[in-house]
Amino acid sequence: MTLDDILDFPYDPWILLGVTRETDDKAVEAAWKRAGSPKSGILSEAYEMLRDEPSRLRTILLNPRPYARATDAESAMKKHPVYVGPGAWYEAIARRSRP
Amino acid sequence: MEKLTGAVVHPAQIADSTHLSDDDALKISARAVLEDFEAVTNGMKRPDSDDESTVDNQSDPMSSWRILINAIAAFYQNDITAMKILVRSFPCNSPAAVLRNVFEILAGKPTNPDAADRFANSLLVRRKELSDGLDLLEEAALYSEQLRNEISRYLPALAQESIEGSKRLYYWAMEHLAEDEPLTELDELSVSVPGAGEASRICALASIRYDPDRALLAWMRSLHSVITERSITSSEATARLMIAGELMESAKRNELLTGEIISSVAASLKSSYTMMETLLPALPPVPTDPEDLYNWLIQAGKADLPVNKLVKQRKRKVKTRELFLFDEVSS
Repeated sequence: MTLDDILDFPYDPWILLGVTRETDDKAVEAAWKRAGSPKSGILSEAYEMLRDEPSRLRTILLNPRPYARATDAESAMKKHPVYVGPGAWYEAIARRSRP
Repeated sequence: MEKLTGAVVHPAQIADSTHLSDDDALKISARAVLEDFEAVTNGMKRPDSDDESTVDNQSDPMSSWRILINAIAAFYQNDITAMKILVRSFPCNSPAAVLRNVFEILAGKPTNPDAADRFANSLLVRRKELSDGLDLLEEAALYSEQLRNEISRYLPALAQESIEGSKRLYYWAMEHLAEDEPLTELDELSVSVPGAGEASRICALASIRYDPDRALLAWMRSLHSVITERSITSSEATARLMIAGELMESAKRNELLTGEIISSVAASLKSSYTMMETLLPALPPVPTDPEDLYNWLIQAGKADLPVNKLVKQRKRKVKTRELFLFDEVSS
């Protein structure tokens, strides 16, 4: 995923896949498979952001705050909290910076 | 269990714990203590007298709480003698021991009126200071430039007393005072604030969307800080270098990549090159040409290999000095 893809992502990928910050490649893949191995959509993007250690590091470095933990990905998606993923934070910054 | 006795402050920590099953004996005991405590503090029920509860049982984390409950019950029964005996049996390191002085006062120990007044006044003054502080802060935030300057002056002193406090203030300022322009000027402060690497990273993220050149410089400061602080792994170093390359590309696309910025990036990399090399042994020397610098950042972001693999690489015949790990060039 490009840098802009991560910056635009509105959700917390850890929440979406239902994995913790201490997760590993196997756990992420297992979570993606449990979700039906989607090849497109937000779950697929979340998987791309977390699928291996370099990707996870990249996602962490480009996120302004620590991700919250959640075990119920479906409920997190339904809630759509105001601030969850990097996209919401960057959007808020952009709103403040507009004249 | 003995360790738990000194560590558990409130039975609810055990009663509400998700690590114990509901039929766990300790959890059942903790719940019973909570129910008894609630009842006795409402004067509704006097727990059954239990000799075992007056004995300091080192293996029962709830023992001090049972003694406390009986002491409260004795007070409500106006049995001050029994209350005093129970209070004397509070284990020294137990949560109940904190209340020993309170029971002594209930038993008639004279209090120091000045001490009570001082205590009450300190609470009132603190509350007043807090509320005044919030009012001042809100008013000051209307004059964001002045507030930023004040925070810039205040942060180094605060950092000496409390690193976490200075970080929290810095993050607060960055989020609340970025109305007109990014807080990158506060980033200049980052060199003297502990945890500068994290502060600069946040500063970079705040600028990415509308100031990619500033974001790049802040990102390089962040990288230099964490390298200097020795607080990152080789994997994180490569990830940071790759992002630096992307930020450089973004600045270039927006026609913001000046010669000055390129020189700053190269200088930052060179100044931390020796320490970076310990993390990434395969790191080639830092170039100064802009095109080469971008490629260097991207390739360096892929240079995360263990040292033993590097040794095998070095044994191979090298034709040129520009050896990239996955791009061996033969003349």
